[in-house]
Amino acid sequence: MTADARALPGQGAATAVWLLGGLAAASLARAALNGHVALSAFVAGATFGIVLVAMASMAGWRPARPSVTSLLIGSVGGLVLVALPRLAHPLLPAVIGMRPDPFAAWVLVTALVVTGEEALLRGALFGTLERAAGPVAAVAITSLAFALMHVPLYGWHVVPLDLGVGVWLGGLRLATGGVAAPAIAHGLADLSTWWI
Amino acid sequence: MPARRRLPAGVLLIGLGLTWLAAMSTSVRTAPLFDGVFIEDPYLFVDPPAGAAGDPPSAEATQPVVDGSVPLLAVATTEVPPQAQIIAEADAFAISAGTQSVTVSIVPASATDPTIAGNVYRFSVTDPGGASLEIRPGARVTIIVRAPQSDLVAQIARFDGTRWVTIPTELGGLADLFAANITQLGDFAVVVTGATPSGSAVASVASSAAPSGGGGDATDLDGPPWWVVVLLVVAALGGGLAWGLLGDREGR
Repeated sequence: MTADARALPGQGAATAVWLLGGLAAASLARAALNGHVALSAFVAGATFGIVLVAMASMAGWRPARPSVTSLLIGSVGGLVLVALPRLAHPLLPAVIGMRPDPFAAWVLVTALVVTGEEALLRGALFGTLERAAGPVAAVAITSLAFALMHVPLYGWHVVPLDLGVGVWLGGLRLATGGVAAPAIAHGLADLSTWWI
Repeated sequence: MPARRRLPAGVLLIGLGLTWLAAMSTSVRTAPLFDGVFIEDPYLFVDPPAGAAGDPPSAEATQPVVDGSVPLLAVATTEVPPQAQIIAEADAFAISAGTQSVTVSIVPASATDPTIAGNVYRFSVTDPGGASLEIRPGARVTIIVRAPQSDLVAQIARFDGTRWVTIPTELGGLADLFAANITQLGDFAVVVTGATPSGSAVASVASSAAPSGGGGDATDLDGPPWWVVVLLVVAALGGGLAWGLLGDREGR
């Protein structure tokens, strides 16, 4: 079994719509439940990640063993994402954002969120769209969904950056044929925010 | 290049270009992407409205002068995210010969105008004698000020002694963080400049939850403790184990 979803060809559009609708609902629900304290944010984030993995699983996606090449490509892809803002503004430190405590819980929930997003977007949805409409449509739609799903929590100003990152992660998915590379790149970029 | 590699390469190039353009479109350096776990402390007011939290911290840091110029400065208050930050590129401040260090301070104060959302913040950089330093012409000094809520149509404004004067403002990474490049230090605040979807500037931010920050020092930039390294090693081993247990390989 591969990392692709196994929906029947005739069901591709319906599966994609179902996954996108579920993703939108989960994103809105997470934003509503997130609150202003760490506990509610951790619960909302963890639930969000688990729900996305469950949806991807229901659509037929299953994890598969990544190749060493995929792991390496994903690591390099993550380092590129971490380096880009630094290269764009080499003389400035980053704006200090969020460093929520406790760190271990933050790492765990962040990993869950990344896993859920990648399982659904670059796993189930990408596979379904690739078969139904081709790889370009798969990259375009999953990238747009990736950008829009962050709007309820962060606001519209995140769309340009997250859209670009979504296309980059879609490229990693295309290049390696699995979710491991985009998941590693995505995870590295997320976790790096603690230090930069 | 084989046809099957052309498409991934093209998509990666487009992604790289879009990400680069997005990073270049802001005057501040933000995170590599906006994702993960979103946690913001309740806003801390100097004069908290009913139900809102109070006692916002100040920030102060003393930086040694290196080779006759002030090095890159980054000072922030301790909330998550900081309610006020200043980032100055190296050699941004004019100092007199012999100056050994400078002190950066950010002090919250009460709002003095009904259009102000949140606190006023006084940004200052002084030499050891207490004299205020001026920003060199053309030097990039950026301040980031947080508003109490994220749906404001607002700008950062500076108090010129008689009135609040707005300055070109952009979002500083989050929807309630406003950033502006400044040419003078002084008193700054987020000023509402238009109608907001949810009404007044400070009406909907009341929350009694305690912030995770606190105290009066500048943000601690140290890394996480040693056990985090242990945690990451365990996670890596767990990942390796899972990898070994998975049967099939990824592929097209």
